[in-house]
Amino acid sequence: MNNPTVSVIIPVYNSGKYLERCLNSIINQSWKELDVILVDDGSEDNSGEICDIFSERDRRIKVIHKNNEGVASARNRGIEAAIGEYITFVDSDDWIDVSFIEAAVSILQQNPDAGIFVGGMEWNYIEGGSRLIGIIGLDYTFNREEAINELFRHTFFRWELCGKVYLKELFDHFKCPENISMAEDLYCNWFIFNRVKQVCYSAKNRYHYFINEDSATHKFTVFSETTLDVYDSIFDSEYKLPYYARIMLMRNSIKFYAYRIRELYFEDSVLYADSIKKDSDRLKELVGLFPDVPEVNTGVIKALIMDDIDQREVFVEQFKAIKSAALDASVFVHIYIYGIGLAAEYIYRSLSEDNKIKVSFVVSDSMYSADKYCGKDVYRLSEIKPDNKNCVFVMSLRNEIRTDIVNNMRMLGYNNIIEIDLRNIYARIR
Amino acid sequence: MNKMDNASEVAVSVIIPVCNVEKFLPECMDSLLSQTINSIEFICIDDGSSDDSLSILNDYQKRDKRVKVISKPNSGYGHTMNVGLDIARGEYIGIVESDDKALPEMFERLYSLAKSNDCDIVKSNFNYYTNGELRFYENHIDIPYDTVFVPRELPAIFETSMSIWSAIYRRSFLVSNNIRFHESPGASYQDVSFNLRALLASDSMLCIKDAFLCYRFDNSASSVYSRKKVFCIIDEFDIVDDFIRTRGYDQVFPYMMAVKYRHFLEHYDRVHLIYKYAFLDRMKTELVSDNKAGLIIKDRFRDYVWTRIEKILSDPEAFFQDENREYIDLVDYAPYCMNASLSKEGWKRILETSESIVIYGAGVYGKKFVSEYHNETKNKITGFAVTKISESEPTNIEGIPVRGIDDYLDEKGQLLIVVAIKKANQMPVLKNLHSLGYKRVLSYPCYMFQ
Repeated sequence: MNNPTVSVIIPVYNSGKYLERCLNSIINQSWKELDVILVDDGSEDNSGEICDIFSERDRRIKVIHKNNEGVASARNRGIEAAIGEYITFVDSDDWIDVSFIEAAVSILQQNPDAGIFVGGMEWNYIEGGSRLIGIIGLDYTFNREEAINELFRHTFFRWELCGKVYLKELFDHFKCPENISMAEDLYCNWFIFNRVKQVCYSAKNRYHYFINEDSATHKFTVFSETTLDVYDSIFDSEYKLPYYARIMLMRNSIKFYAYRIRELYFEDSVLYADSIKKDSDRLKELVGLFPDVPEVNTGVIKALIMDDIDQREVFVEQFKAIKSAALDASVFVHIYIYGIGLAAEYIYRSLSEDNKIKVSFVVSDSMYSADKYCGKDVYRLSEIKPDNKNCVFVMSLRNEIRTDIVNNMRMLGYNNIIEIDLRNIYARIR
Repeated sequence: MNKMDNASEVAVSVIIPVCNVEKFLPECMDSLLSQTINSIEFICIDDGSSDDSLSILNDYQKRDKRVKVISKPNSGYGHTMNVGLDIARGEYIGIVESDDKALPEMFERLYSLAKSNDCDIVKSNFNYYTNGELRFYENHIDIPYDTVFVPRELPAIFETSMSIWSAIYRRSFLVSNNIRFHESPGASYQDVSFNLRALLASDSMLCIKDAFLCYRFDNSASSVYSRKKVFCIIDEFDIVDDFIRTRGYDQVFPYMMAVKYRHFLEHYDRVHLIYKYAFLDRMKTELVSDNKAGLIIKDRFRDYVWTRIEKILSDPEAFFQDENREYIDLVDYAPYCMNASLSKEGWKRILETSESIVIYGAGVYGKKFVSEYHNETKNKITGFAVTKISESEPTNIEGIPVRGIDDYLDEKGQLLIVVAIKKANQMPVLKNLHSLGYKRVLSYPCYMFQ
């Protein structure tokens, strides 16, 4: 089998402007024997048309249009339709190096015991810049135990389905679960990796994972319970997962629970009261199992699992204050959010999407920051000349540092400043 | 339902909790149906088995009216046992695990002794049953046989194995003292609070030397993975402690504490490494509190237990670190080297695929590494690295140059660095390499993948 076909499955949903970049990187692959399956999951923009145009131009591309049922269902349709000996998944806003598939095929053919190839991974940020994931320059063949361990360890690679090339037969009698909204990649790989003897890794050719504006506003309420059930079931399984993998899995669990609970408070603490209670109990159980884990001793996590009602009320009050400030700010035409931390993000998300209102971020002159945050421009204080009639500053700084800065701003003549009593609950839980 | 309304037409009710034991269940049931006592009922509760256990039970029910079968969704041993206790109507209760077997005269003997001596509890020794062979185990070696005694007045009784399946219990005694099983699903050790409360509350117990129950010992002394099982033993003893206080049996605390902490430490040794710290934390909190209440008395503890208790009280962090070096290393070192990604055999593979290896450390450990991986590193060692070159250091070892680590920065993308120095010095080196951007680093000889 000298020229095996590789099926490339690309779920498409409102992919808009990034779709062409993705498709071009596929049709320009040095490996020509491709079976490209575009699964249009009920796009409402012109993604469906773009797919059809590419399909007309290149015989290797076929398009499936279906109702919107989620990325897992799109992948499953793709798997059903795939005819190649190998299968790989590419997300429609990502792209891959020109020799990615060729390298994968070559390595897999040289290693008959290997069922999966993992390439390099690079995160590309919309605001510019990139980050390499994994260990470049090292080619290594993992045995099954090591490979599964790595799904959690994240030194060489992570648990995404993308960026890996699989023998198609590994997906026989397997469907990606369609009812869990996050971590289904983990679940799938947990299953599939258990079916192979070896996994080959080579970081020379990369999968480019695009981090766009939605990453900053990623809604963690979509961490459904079933997601965390996946973690739980893997963790409790009798499979002899190496220690460190278990530790990492649990740490991730703790992080996700904490994020989810905080997001639920942000959305509506009354509506989601039951979920909050349930998740807090589970978080408490986890924290009880790992009292020595550094993440656990952060103020945020401690606050989330406190039995003390007053402590939990802090979250309710804080988010109320943020939403109220956002409402007050909305009478102005230009809103500057001062600060670019998680509190700033919550303020931004509390603003209604009104095209007439412009939102920007502001940082102190001495602060280093990227040009964009949440997809909006970030300015230094000295760069802007706000006019007091139409502009307002919403301070997203913690109480400790806010006062001095506000005093300084008043001295500079700024009048419209909305201050919020912000406590220490906005740490990003790493 | 008033449980005492069940008229005692039956001498003995045997409760058999069943969950996925199709392989051993027939042997168990056959041994029960061969019991020499006639006035007996067998209450078999299927705890949501997914194998053929339930259909096997149903077959036995068809064959013998004394067999009652209840099936329910899986909810754990504790709840299963309580269901049995609620249904049982015999004068005495026996318990048989569904993978064990009972010799024919077991319940006849135990019942007749119970009746003639008017006892709450009659208990026998047992046999270990492996590979078809029976090995007698004298559980009650320090207990007077054939005489009625008050268990809580005999400290030695609390040192015996729980083995609630080698005894019969007067049902009215259990009911009036509300002795039941703790119902946490997924939990273990649920025989502990049942057994100890029964021993504490009883005024009349008799032990005999004979053994009737054949206990199929499965080597499940394996690590406890499940989160639900981590703290169970503590919960069980909390129930016992409360019982002691409520009934005013405080005089038993000195020897009960010894039993409790012996069990805690046994569990601590068995529990999965990643839970050990958490378990130690709870155990320590409990120990400090019991100690403050004056309940921890050195004389009552076995020596080897006391040494560890003392250590936990005086320096729990050291206690953990001394015994769990590997865990601490794992968590501390893992972010800075590749070790936690590689099985021991993986080391060979990674050395084989590396083109250029630099050994950090030009001393004893470096030599040890080279000799251990002689084949895989042949002709690939391109240099030795030290933190800083000093005049006294050799400039090369057997022709291979020794350089300061900074000199290798340009090639860091191509090099595999093996840090082969004394353990105590490894951490700063690993952190430094990490900050300089070296990603292919191995810490020798640290095999973290377990």
